[in-house]
Amino acid sequence: MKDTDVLRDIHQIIEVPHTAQELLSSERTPTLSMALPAYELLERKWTQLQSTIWELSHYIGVGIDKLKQYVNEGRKTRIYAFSMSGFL
Amino acid sequence: MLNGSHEILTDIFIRCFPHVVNLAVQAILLELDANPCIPVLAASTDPADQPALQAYARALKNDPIGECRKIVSACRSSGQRRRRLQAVISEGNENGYWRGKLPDGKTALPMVQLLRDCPTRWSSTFKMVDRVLTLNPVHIRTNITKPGIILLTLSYRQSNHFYLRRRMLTSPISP
Repeated sequence: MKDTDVLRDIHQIIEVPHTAQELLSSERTPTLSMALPAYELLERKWTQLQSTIWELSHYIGVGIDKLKQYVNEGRKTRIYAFSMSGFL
Repeated sequence: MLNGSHEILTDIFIRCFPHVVNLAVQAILLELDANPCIPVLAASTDPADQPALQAYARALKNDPIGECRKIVSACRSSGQRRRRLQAVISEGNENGYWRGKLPDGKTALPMVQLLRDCPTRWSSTFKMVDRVLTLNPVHIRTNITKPGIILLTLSYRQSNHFYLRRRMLTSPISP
């Protein structure tokens, strides 16, 4: 097992949030309505990676936990649901 | 008073998406750094997987991201070093040295510099690792026995063990 191979695995893991951020900041219009779906997409992709890069499953789990912690805090406000409803 | 306003604030507070994502990524990187062995070994209970997992844990313990950072620091520490890196890339592009060594059938390396990461910049660790992997065909090795010397090697005709070595700078790397 070469260090570069491990680095490629880590690269794959941190590429997901990078892509999610690019997606969200690519629009010129505010994309608040996209925030919750983007969190869910990120969580789903990371969960998939837990089975492909199973050696690093624990570390991906740490990221998912952190993400969930903030998303649950965020769910306390209704602004996301409101923005997704299309009235804004 | 603060407690009361905090309750109201949580109700109207819109969390910054990239910031939250960055915190999650930082949590992963911190855990990789602080605890590189046991979680890897515990990833499978099958004894047959253990040798592979031990090798994986050893590689992770070498701190590949920290190594990236060292390489980036060494290659960016002066204008001379930056120019040398560009010279090696363009030399390889001109004489077709990278042909067959790059993914997706590419024949030339982009004329780019390595990037340094920073915890408060979103995606910066990803960009650093991405660039190091892109320029991975350039043999950049920091010299461990003599810190401050970095070797940039273009290994021509590897089968004949004929190496073209470029010694970049002999002055110590400034912290």
